[in-house]
Amino acid sequence: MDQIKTLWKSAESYYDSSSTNQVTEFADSVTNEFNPDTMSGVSRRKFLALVSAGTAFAATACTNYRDKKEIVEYVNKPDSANTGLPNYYASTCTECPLACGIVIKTREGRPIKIDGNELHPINLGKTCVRGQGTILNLYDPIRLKKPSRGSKMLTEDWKTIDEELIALFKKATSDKKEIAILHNTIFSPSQKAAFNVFIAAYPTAKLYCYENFCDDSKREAFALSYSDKQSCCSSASSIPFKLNQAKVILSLESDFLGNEGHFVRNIKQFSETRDVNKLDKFSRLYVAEAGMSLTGMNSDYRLRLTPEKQLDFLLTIISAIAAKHVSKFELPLDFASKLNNYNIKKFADENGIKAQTIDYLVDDLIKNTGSSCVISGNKLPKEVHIAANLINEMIEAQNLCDCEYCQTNYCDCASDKDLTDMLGRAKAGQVAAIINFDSNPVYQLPQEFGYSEASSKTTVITLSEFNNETSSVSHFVLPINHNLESWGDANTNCSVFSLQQPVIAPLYDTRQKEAVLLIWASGKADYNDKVYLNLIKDYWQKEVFPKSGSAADFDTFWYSCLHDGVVEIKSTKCDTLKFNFDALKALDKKYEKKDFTLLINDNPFFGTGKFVGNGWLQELPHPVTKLTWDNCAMIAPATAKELGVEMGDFIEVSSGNNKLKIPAFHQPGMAEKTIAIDLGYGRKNVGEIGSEVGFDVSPFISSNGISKYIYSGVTVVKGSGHYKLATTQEHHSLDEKFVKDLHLKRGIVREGTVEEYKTTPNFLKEKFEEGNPVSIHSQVSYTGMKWAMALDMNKCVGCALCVQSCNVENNIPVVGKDQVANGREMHWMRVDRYYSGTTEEPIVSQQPINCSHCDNAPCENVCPVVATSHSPDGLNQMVYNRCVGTRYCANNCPTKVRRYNFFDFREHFAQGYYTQDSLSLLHNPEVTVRSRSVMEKCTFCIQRIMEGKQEALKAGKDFKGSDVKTACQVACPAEAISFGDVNDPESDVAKIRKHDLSYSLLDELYIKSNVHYIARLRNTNSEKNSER
Amino acid sequence: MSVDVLHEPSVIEGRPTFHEINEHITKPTEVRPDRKYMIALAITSSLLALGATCMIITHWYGIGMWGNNNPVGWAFDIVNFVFWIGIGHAGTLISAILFLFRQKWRTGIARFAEGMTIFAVMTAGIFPLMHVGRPWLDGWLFPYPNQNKLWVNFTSPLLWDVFAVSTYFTVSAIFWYMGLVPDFASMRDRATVKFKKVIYSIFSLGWRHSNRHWQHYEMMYLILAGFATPLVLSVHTIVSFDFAVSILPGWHTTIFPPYFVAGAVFSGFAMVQNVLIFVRKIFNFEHIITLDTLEKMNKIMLATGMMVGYAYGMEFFIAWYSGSPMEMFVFVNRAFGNYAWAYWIMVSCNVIFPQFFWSRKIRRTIPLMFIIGVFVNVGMWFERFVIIVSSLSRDFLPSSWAYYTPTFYDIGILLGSFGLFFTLVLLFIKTLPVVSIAEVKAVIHGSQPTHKGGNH
Repeated sequence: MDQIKTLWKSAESYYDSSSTNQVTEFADSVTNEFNPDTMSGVSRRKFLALVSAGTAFAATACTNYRDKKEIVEYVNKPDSANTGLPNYYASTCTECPLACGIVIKTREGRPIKIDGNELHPINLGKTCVRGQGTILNLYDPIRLKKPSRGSKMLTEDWKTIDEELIALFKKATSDKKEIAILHNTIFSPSQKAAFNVFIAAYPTAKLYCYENFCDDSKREAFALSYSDKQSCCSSASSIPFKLNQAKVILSLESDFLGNEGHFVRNIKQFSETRDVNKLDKFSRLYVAEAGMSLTGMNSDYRLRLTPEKQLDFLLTIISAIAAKHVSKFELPLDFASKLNNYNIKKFADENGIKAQTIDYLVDDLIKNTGSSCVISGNKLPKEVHIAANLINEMIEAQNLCDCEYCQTNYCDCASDKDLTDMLGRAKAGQVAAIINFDSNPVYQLPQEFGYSEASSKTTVITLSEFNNETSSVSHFVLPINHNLESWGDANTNCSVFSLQQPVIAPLYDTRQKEAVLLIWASGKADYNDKVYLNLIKDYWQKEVFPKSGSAADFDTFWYSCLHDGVVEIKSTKCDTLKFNFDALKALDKKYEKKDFTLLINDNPFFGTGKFVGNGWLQELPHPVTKLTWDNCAMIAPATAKELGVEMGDFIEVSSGNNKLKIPAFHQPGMAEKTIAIDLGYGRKNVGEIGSEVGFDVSPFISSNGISKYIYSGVTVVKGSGHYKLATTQEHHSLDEKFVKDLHLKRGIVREGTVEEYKTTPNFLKEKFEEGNPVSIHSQVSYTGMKWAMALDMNKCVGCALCVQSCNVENNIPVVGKDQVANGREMHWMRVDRYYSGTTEEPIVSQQPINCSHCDNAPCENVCPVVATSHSPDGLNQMVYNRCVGTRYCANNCPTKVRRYNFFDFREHFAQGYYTQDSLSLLHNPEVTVRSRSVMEKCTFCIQRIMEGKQEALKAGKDFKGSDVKTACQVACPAEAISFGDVNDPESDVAKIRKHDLSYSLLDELYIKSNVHYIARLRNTNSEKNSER
Repeated sequence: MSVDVLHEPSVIEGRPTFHEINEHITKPTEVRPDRKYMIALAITSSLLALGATCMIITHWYGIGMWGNNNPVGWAFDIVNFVFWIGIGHAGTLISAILFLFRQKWRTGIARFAEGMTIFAVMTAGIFPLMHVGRPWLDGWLFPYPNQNKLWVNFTSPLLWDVFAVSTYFTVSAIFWYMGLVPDFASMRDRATVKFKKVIYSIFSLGWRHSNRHWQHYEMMYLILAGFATPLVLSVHTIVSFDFAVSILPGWHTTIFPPYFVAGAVFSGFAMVQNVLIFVRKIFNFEHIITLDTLEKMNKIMLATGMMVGYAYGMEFFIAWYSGSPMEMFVFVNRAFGNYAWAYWIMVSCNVIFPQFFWSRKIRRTIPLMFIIGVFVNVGMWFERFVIIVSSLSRDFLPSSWAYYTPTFYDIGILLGSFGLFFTLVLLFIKTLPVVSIAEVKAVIHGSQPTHKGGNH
């Protein structure tokens, strides 16, 4: 390096060579001084590894993934619980007196899904929305967890309370004071036996059964019409019709497809007669009603008729049938002579109904004698039921009677007088205790009965799952097991016995309600949860086993029943019933329509209010109004106009001393000057979800009406104020010209008549002839499996069961009223409802819609981050983790089926209700719980597809499309949904696509939808739709 | 009356000397802000704070704080985005296109318009970033190699937006800065405070007003102008693709690209005109930003306003001509449906009011042109609202229709966007020369050799 200085700038640099010239910027090469040993021992490779590991650690430390939870494996694994594999248990749903057979799916020991039990002969593999939703009740954090004392709910242990109460009952027995047990309908023979045991132990005990909404008048009329009952029907209260064999059905104010009778079975049977491939069996449904019901929406002919005129209507029909002298059934002369006053023309003119429609009806009833029937609604007074029974005799509807499955009756309902007498005695201090056995009399009984006053004069013991109006006036509140934690049995239809078994140990310190009674009856406070099971077994051994004719021993029989959940005991065929003409005397009654008529409806989802705390059901759109989180007064738009009442404006309804301020809802198809209000709302003390939701119409129930549920002479005036109603569908006025009938003009809903289809099978394709769109892109061909769905609009009645089943299966969050009002409900499936025609006589079309999984999905190409893409088997998939939430896909979705998590709805809804511990058990572990700002939509139940694929692989079979059933498909009682591999020519979906009546939505966009519809056929006479 | 067509009137009134120009233009940056300025800043920064608060709350709880609902997935968020991007168009148009066309009158307003472009694009840029529900994942919108081998979707117009807007912002910012360099040098030379001197020195990049510097500068400015010119057209074209590429009736329209560009220039000019009216008054720039200049801007607004009006009419014609019932419905619904009020606000503000500019008197009357300018901006905001919200709220299936109502947060964020924009404008006024000193010097009387004579 020693160079001769050749250049220097200053003296300094000349002399101080070391600091300037000697320092060269870069070393020329590696010199001898370079010694690798002096370097750090860390190799470059190692260094890079450390850096990357360090970065990764730092990154990990920064991550705080909020949904992170630990998974802990079993310490002692129960034999039957295999992680990741579901178990299925057959049981019985005891949430309502229909007692459907159910199959409960459990994962890791916790129930996550309920579907109908296919072996059950009554509900035929289907169950209702309540049955589907009861899982939420099981995990509801507001369930009562410990027994308590007094209105302050001081926690107490069971033993102390048991001892105290046993002493109380013993004293009551010795004092000869009554012990009143209030209960709802009994449909379980073992439960009845348990009551008997209790009554035997304490002879002063008395059982009162009552229902807030029941078919009392129908039963009474049945008893009057057929007073000399025989054989198995001796205990029958009424006999259901075999609707699958009916050709003509006349429904009178009866929502038999919505909530009356065994509506799940009814839907199933009715839809069997709506098969486009069996046109000769196609039924015709006439509905005469004042309120708009689901049944009315599905009718072929709908007559608007106020309930006061129902009796006249039936007598007109009776007179018309009698006048034709075709019936073998002879009417008594004095009655026949009275009928002369009735004729169709006069009746039609008076009530603004087309006489032709009634003519058609009478013709149809006569022509189809033996395969037609009249169904009268539970709301109607007994006289109408008697008249309906008479017509049924005349048209030989007994052919359709399902005698094998006539309804049982374990306990006659207590009359109003029984109850008021008992409460009177209680007020006088003569009743030692009132036991509310899973009943809620403060809410359910009319206020005038004075239950609340009586409760201060006696000891009130309430057995309940939840707090309710009664628990707040009770001295003891005892928590009971949920349906899914309980043993039980049921016998609702004479030859069907079903068993209920617990599928999860009680989550809290709760007890089986019957066992509580039995312990009290034993006189010793030693609880044993087997005590009721033993009683059931006992009953089955003594009563059911001998009748079953089973060759095996009882244990085998018992376990097979437990496995199947149900056993059917074939009884001897019952004799025909003989009509009792004395009953006709009641038909002299006349009803006058005065002022407004009030109809009190049974809510299709909540029943009489037990389920108001269930968010799923609150948010399920009402099948008619599409209203959520409220009830309303349905009122005809014309009447509302007269009153000057807009949608959501308050009206004041008053009858006698009762007044109710409730928002009005313009409902097309309502009879004029009639309002209909759903029962079961306006509950108090039922937790955050259900309290103060809607308006309570139950105080109106009294004995002054035409029946318990129909009141004439009600005053309705415009009230002050406006109320926000949250519907899932915007309400368009039918008068607004340019939006009118858009669903028909756009071919979204395509309909025709049976006539049209018979004469020109491909009329639909002719009517909606479309050019063949072509694409400038090359189209992906799906050669392997390709998933597709088909929906039969003839079968679908719009019951919303598919929506509910989807909610449960796919962990759909409840969003609350404010969010629904803003159009943010998260349901992946929805049932659209459209009106055409006039507001007075609307024609209703319904259409369930889920993601179409279009081949050319418009959502896919607009996502900037490829968060939604197509699978090789034709599914439009959503990658939640990749979604950044631009909402562009939803904007570009022509059917608007995409749902956006505007909030973390689990946190947002009801102050984090969903984030409470017990509710995390609710979710289906196979389906991701979506976080905030993520788009979601129907996946065609991809978890079920994957499960089917796995099963097929495991079994070494070919995987077929029919191996997979989606949640909505399984739940649909009408069997309107088919799902499968459209590339398999044998599959239902492939066949339906080729059907003349099949169409898919918005073909003109060339989206190539994979959900096809079979157009609905209306079974009208030859006149056109518009002329109905 | 004889008019000398060859005689070009001077764009700068009077005969200021170079020194006077320097003095005059740099004055606002050299005196302490007065009370009025502070009040103005307090108002705009309060609005900004309101917007920021609403944005933070939205970020914390989710998009649900806004009024967006199921059919109406985009509303104020994207309306604001398109509106602000539109505002940004005037700047580049003035600085690039008018520069290439040798329109000398642009010199007085170019700097300011360019600044507004930058601020408007900054304001606009917030919306696409924040409208996604999970803004912490915005990085995924950029194509970068990653271990998950996840790539962006090049068929999505939203992705094109990302490129278009970021390119536009970058080029506009460079263009603006380039133009500022000689002025930075002038400011540096004038600065007496050390702190200011250092800052201006850094930004002036060692500019010494040398001949070579000027040569390079002019060439670079020309190249950048050429580069920015297509961007003026491309950015709003691509923004319009967000709608035109979708299948929604009312969005799926081929007229959108030219219509959006015309609309953007329209609103951009209105905004520049509005702000400049204040600036020239407050800082006594009347002779630099002359009434003639304002009149020319009004003429451009009249022209672009009619283009927009033509597009409105043409949309209706095409909807009818297409024979598609969905298209027809959407346009009838716009005019007479649930959002008819918004539609008629749009039509009256954008088509009817600008017609007053046919009158020379109105074109030259400051209060009237200001009012019309405000109307144009309101109208153009509503144009985006009508396109986005009314089309979404009533689409294919009547069952899923719903009405959109903005919430407090929507309005707060809208106000906040104005707060951000005007705060930036106010800061700009006090720190940088709002008129290009160098360029103005080039267009005053006698600065250029001329053969026409007679004027000096």
